[in-house]
Amino acid sequence: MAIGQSYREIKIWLSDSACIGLSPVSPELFARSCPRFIDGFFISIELLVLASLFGFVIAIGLAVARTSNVGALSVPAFVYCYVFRGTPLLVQLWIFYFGFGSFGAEGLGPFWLVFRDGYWVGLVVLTINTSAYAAEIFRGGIVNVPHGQIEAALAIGMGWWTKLRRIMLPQALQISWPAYSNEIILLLKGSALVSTITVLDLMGQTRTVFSRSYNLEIFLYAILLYLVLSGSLTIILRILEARLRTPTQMSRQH
Amino acid sequence: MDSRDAPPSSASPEQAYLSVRRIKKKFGDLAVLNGVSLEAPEHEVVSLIGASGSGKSTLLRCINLLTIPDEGDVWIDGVRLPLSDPSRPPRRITDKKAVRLARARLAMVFQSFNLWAHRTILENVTEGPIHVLGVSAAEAREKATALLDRVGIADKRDFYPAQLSGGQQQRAAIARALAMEPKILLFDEPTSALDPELVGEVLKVMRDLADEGRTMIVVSHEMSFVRDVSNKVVFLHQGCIVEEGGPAEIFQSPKTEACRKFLSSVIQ
Repeated sequence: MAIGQSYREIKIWLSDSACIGLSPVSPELFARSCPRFIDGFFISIELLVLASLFGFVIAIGLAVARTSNVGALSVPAFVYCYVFRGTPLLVQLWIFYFGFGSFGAEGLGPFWLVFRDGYWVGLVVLTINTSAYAAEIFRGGIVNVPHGQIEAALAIGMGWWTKLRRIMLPQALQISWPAYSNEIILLLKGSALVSTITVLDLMGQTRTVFSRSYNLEIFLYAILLYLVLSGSLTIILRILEARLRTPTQMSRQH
Repeated sequence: MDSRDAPPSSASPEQAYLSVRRIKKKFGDLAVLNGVSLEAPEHEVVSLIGASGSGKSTLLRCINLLTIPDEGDVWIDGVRLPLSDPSRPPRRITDKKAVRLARARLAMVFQSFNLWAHRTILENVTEGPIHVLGVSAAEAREKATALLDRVGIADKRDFYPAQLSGGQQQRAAIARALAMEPKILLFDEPTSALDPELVGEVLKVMRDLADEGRTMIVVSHEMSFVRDVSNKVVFLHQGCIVEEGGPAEIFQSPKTEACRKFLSSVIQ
C-alpha cells in the first residue's frame, strides 16, 4: 500500500528529525527514549484523529435519530447513548479486548482480525464512546435551532432531508461546537486508557520506558507531550469554531 | 375517490384559487377555529382581522399546513391538500410530496421574520429556488439580486440577518418569499415585531405587491393598511368568521357588536 508506505516513511523522518533536533536540549533520559516517545505520540494522534472523525459521523446520525419522533429510530439511539455514556471507558475497553477477545478466532470468525489487536479494539471503543457523548452534544444543538427557522424551511417547501442538511445541522454544529471541542479534548485524555490493552500509545510507551528505569522524570515528559497535543488540538478546534460562526449583531455595520 | 376530493360545491363564481372549507382546530380543550371557510380569488388581497386569540394566525397557518386542522380541508387550484380522515385523529399529512409542492407555491412571511441565521441575505433568498425548485445557482443569484434591489436592500446582500434592522430583515424575508414565484403570499402579522418607525418601509413593499395584482392573505393589525389595500376584509371572533365584506363595508358599517367593539379599540 503506497499510502501506508509513505505514511510510515514520513513518521520515521519526523521521529528522526524531532529526536535529533531535540537532542542538544533534551535531558539524557529523554534523549535515550526519544524514538519511543515520538512513536507513542503518533499512535495517540492516529487514534484521536480516526476516532473523532468516525465518531463525528456516527454521532450526527445518532443525534438525528435521537431527535426523530419515529420510535424505531430514537429508542435504539437513546439506548446506545445511555449504555456507552453510562459506563466507564476502561470497562468498555476491557470487555471488548479481554472479554470478546477471549472467544478467539473460532468464536469471532472474521471479527477476530479486529479483536485480536489492541490498536483496533482501542479505535473501535474510542469511536463508540466519543460518538455516544458527541451525539448527546449535537442533539442539544439540534433541539436549540430556533423553531421559526424550521417553520420557514417547511413553509418554503423543503423536505425532511433538505431541511436537516441545509438549515438544521449547520446551525446545530454552530451551537454545539464549543461543547464538542471539549469532548475531543476529553477523548484525547481518555485515549491514554488504551495503554491498558497493550497499545503502545504515548501513555503505553511512557509506561514501557518507566518500567526500565523507574525514574519518575519520565512522566514529566509524557505530560509535556500531552500538553503539546492538547494545545495544538485546542488551536485547531478554535479555528474551526471561528469559521463556523456567523457574524452577530455585535458586528453590525451600517 | 373520497367524496371530500370533489371540489367545494359552493366555489365562488370566479373559481377561487385558494379555498378553505369548514376548518376546525383545537389546542387541547381550547377551540381556536370553529368551522371557518374562506376563499381567496386570484389577484385579490384578503385581510384577516380580529382580536388576539381570535384564530386569525391559526387560520393562516392551516392554509400551508404548518398547523394541521382537526377537521376541514384546504383546496389549492382545485386540488385538496392530502390530509388523513378527520374521524380518526390525530390527523396527519398523507402525501408529503404533494404538500411540499403546494407549500412551494404558497409563500409565507412570518411575524418574527425567521430568516436563516447562518446564511447571508442573498443565500436566504436563493436557498428555496436552488434547493426546492432546482433552479441553477447563477440564475437564482441573479434573480435574488433583482428582488433584493426591489425591496431596497441590495446593498445588504452579503450581510447576515443579525446584522440588519427588523425592517430590513422583514423585507429580506419578503424577497425570500417572492423568489419562489408563489401563487399566493401569506403574511402573518408582518409588522407586529417591528419598531414603529420601521413599519412603513415594510408596508410600502406590501402595498406595491398588492398593486401589481398579487394574491395575498394578510393577518395584520395595521388597520389603515388593511383598509386601503384589501379587496375583502374578514373579521374573526372566537374562532368564527363573524363578518366579511369590502373594506368600506366593514370599517364604516360593521354589523355586529363584536366587530364594532374591535374596530373602535384599534382605530384611535
